[in-house]
Amino acid sequence: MEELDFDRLRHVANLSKIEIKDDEELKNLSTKIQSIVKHAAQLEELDLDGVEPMTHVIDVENKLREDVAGQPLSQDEALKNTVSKEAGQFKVPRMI
Amino acid sequence: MNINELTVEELYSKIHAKEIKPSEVTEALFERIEKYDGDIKAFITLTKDEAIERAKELDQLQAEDKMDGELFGIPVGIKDNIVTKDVLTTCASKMLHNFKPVYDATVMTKLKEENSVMLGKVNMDEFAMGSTSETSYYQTSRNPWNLACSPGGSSGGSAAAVAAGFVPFALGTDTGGSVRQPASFCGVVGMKPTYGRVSRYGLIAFASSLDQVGPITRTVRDNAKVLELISGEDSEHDMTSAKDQNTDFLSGIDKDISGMKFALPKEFLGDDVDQSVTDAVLKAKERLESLGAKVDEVDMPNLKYVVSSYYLIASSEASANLARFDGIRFGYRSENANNLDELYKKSRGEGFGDEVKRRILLGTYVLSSGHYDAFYLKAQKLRRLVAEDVQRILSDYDLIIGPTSTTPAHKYDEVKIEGTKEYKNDILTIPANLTGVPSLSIPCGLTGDNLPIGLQLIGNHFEEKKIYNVAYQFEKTYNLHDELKKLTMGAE
Repeated sequence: MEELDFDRLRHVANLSKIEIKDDEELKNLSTKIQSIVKHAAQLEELDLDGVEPMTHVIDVENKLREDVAGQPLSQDEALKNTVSKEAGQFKVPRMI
Repeated sequence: MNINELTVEELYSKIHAKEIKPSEVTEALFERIEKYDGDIKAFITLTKDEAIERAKELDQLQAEDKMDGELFGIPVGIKDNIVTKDVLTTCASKMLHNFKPVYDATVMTKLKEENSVMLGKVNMDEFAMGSTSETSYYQTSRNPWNLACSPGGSSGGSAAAVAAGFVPFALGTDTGGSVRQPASFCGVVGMKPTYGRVSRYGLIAFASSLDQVGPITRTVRDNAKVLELISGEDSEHDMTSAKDQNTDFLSGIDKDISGMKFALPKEFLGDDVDQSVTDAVLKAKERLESLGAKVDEVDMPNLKYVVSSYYLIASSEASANLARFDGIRFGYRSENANNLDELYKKSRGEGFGDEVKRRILLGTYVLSSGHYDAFYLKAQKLRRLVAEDVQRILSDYDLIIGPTSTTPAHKYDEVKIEGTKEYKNDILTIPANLTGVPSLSIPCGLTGDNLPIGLQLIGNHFEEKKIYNVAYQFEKTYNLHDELKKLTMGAE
């Protein structure tokens, strides 16, 4: 199994869209993550061939509703919790 | 009469008999909160003005004999990951320091329909990730039994508030033990219902295949009553609740349990379990036998793998669920971003605490290309094996019993346990989440240092009624009702 070194962890942080301030923070986060990953390697000792992965613990089926228009959140409500808005829209820094 | 000592059922009777007014109840509890919560730190947000205003409206209805609702005038504390319309809902995170939801969670709607009065939002580990209530961005809650100790977590604020007499009941949430373990640490009763028993609409998701809302109370009957009121199919909304549920838990709660068979997995009393806990659980086993039940030791061979499986699955789901916190639509937004990508990264980097970041990173790693089969798929397969263990045992036995936690509440100043040892403390509560079965924690003893110990009762899917029946009979032989009333919360 590939080791989760600092470079790899920086890459994962990038995928997660989380800025890591400095090496100290990276080290602090890394210790516990490493120990869980190492501990999880115990699963390798199990023979799991042919075992069906469990995605649902109770029998569920899709619920469908009639295709009738309902009352969604109003624009004002949807924008109520944003820090920055303009002209009825979420405002973000320029992208290009 | 000390109003803070009254149970949900006692408050219901006294309000209906017009012995007390809803506003008297609410005001008395706020007085107690103001006196002691500076030390206990159970509440993140108090909604005193709204609560007293609502209670006074209920006074009027009481005077007019229009007391509708099974929780008429009865106060509640709500864990801060359950959304409450127009009331700050932080998940104990800086990320949601300013978030006021525009709708109520289904459980809130149900409590309001029963005319319960919310006193405020209670503390928790950040995004429910933790088992001590220490990862909260705002405050560290204290255990009412001993202020030097943790109330447990992640629903530590809920359990502490109930034990301290701030509220007769609270709602918590349980993803890997977060209702049951704090209930155990605080000497109260906590239920993790069957997956799908209670709607998750409006519960800010941590790990959607494991999360469940559950009640924390001082008595078994109160717990059954509250669960009756918050459970059931939520037909209006999506997929989070199971259909065709029987939600009667109270009728027959007093039935004789003689002849019932319980399984005590020997792995539940393994080397990691404190002697004080083992002793209390073996004593509980004798009490159940004295009620005419039979208790056998059984094997649960895959128990030692559940922590690995749980952390891989829960972190994977968390990494996806917490992607919604983008700094744009709600919650914390960094002021240091120059472009959109920086806005995401800085808002999330500055807004999330360490434990949350760890789990998002772990989950992202586990799900990333090349690791899915090695980790996530294996964890899901192990989940199947544990479910088969549980079903095999429950095909022969009425309930599985054991300790709720490997230890009683720990002291905050004890040296931090490193790495997975800290996580391993959840080993006894995780099986019920991985397999979706209901599980209740009730007090079954005290340590030499006067800290509560919890007994866990695990039943089959949708068999909460049987669990409550056994718990109620057990509670008659052992409970901490009087001890809770005597807690001084640090005062001499």
